Amino acid sequence: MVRLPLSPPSSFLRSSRPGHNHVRAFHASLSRKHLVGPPDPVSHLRPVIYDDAPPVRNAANVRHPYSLREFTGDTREYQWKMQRQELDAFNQAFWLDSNTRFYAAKDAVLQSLPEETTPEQREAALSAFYARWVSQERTRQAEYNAEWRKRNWSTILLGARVRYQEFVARAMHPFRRGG
Amino acid sequence: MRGAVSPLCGLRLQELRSQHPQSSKTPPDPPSLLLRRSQVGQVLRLLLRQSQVVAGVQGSICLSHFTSTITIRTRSFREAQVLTPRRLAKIYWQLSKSSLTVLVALTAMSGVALCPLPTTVPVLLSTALGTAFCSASANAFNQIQEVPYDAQMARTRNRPLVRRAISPLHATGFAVATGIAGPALLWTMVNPTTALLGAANIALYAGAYTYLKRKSTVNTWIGSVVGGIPPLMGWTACGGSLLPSSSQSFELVLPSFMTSLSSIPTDLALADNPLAPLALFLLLYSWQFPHFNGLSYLVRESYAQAGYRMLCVLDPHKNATVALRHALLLVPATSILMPLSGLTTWAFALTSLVPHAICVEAAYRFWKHGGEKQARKVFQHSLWYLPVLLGLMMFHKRGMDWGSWLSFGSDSTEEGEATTTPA
Repeated sequence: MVRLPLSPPSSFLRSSRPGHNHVRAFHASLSRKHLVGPPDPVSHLRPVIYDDAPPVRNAANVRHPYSLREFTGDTREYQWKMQRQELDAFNQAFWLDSNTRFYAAKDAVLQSLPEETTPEQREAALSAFYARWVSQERTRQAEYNAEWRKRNWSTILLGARVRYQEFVARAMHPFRRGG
Repeated sequence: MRGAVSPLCGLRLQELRSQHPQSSKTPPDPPSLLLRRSQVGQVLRLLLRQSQVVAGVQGSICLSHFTSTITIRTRSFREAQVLTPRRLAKIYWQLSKSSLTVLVALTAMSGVALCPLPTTVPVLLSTALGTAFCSASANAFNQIQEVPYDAQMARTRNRPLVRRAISPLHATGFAVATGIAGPALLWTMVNPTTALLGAANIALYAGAYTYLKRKSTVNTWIGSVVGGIPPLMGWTACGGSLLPSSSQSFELVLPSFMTSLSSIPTDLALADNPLAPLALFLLLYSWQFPHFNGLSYLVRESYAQAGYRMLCVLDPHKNATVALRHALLLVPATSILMPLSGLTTWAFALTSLVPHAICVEAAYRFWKHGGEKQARKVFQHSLWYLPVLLGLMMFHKRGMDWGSWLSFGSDSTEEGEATTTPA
C-alpha cells in the first residue's frame, strides 16, 4: 500500500535529507544516486536501481517497432548501462535458482535424519551433503564462473572506455555546455 | 479536485487520497499507479525524503508499462552514499582487507628485523609501505572478481563491492594504482628483487589463487606460498640472498655440546646463508595450513553453497590430515632449522617446544575426532602461535646481548664510561 503524504506539492521541491549539501573537496567520484536495496533473502544479492539508467521507451520516441528514436546519446554508453543491468539480472537469476535448490536439498537431508541423532551425527550428515552438493553442481558452477568472469571484465573495460571518452570530450572542448 | 497532478512526477494524488482514507487498517488492494519506469527512482526518492525515514518504507507499486507489469517492493531502498574523502579512505581500507595487509606488512618487517645484514630506517619503512601496497592491490583484485561469491557467504557480505558502496571500475582503478605503486616503490627505494617478489605475489594471489579457488583444492597450497613470500621480501630488502651461490660457502651453526670450540661465535654474518630465509618461508608457509584448514572447516557450509572447491567441503578428513602434517612440519622447520642457520641461538629450540606442543596436540585432536569444536581450537591456537614464535625469534636472535640492554654484566660498565666521559 502506498501512503502518500498530505503536505502540499511545494514541499516536494525542498530536500529534507540531512547533509544533502556536501561540499566535496575533490570530485574523485561523481555523486551517484543509485538506489541500493537490502540483500535478497534467497540469492543474497543486493538489487540496484541505477540513477543513470538508459532512457526508456515511451510513446514520444517510439512510433513503430523498428524505430531508432529511443536510442539517444552515445551508443557505447548505452551498451555499458544495459550490460551493467544485464549482469545484475544474470547473477540474480543464477543464485536464486542455485540457492533455492541448495536450501531445499539441505532441508531434505535434515528431515530424513531420524529423531535421535546426536549433533555430531547431524554434523557428519551435513558434511557428506556438502561434498555431494559441490560435486553435483560442478559443471553448472564452472559454466557460471567462466561467464561471470568474461562479463565482469568486459563491463569494467567498457565502463573504462566510456569514462575515457567522456574525459577526452571534456578535455578537447572544455567550455562546451553539458548536453 | 480530482486529477490534480504533482508537478514532479505526475501522480494523481487526490484520487489516491480519496481511495485510501486515513485508517489504521491496511486497505485490501494496492493502488495501481500508471508510472513511467524512469519515474520509479523519483517516486522512491520522494517517499524517502517525505517520510524522513531511510528504512522501512512499506509498500508496493504496480507499474504498467504498455503490456508488461512489474511489481517493485519499496522496502528499505537506500541511496548510495556520497563518497566524501573520509568515506572513500574507509572504503579503500576495506578493499585492501586492512587486517590482512597490516599483518603481511608486519611479517615483511620481521624479515627485515631478523636479517643480520645492516639496514636503514628508510629501507625498513619503504619495505613495509611497498608490501602494504602490493597486498592492497592483490586483495582489491580478489574482491573485484568475487563479488557474487562474497555475497553468498556471511563472513564476506559487508565488503564494499558487495554492498555497492563503490563501482567495480573505481575498485579496479584503485587496484591498478596500488599494484603499480607497490612494486615501483620497492624497485626505487629498496631493490629490484623485492619489487619482483611483490609483483609475483600480486599475480599469484589475484590471478592463480582466486582462479583456482573455484577449480581445484590445490588453491590452498598456492595461497600458502603467497603468505610465505613477504618475509622473503623483507630478507631481500636488506640485501640478503635467497638462493645458494657457488662462490659463497656457509657453515651450519651447531649447538655448543656438538662443537669443540670453547666459545660460541656470535658473528652475525653467520646467518647470511640461504637456510635462514628458507626457515622463515617454511614458518609462514606451514602455518597457513592449521590456520586456514581450521577456519574453513567452521564455515564449510558457506563455501559449499557458494561453490568453492575446498578440502573442508570435499574431503574433511584430508583437511585435518594436512593441518596435522604441517603442524608437525613446523617443529623441525623452526626449532631445528632456525638455530642451524644461525638466525637464533639454540636456546630457541628449547623455548619454542612449548607452543609447538600445544598446537600439535590440538591438530592431533582435530585429526582424530574431526569436529567443529576441535577445528575451532586449532584455529584459535594458530592466532597466537605466529606472533609468539616471531617474538621468541626476536628474543633469541643471534647477536642480541639482552644483558647489556638491561644493564647487567660487564658491557654496562663500558657503556657507563662512554656516557660519562664527555661530562
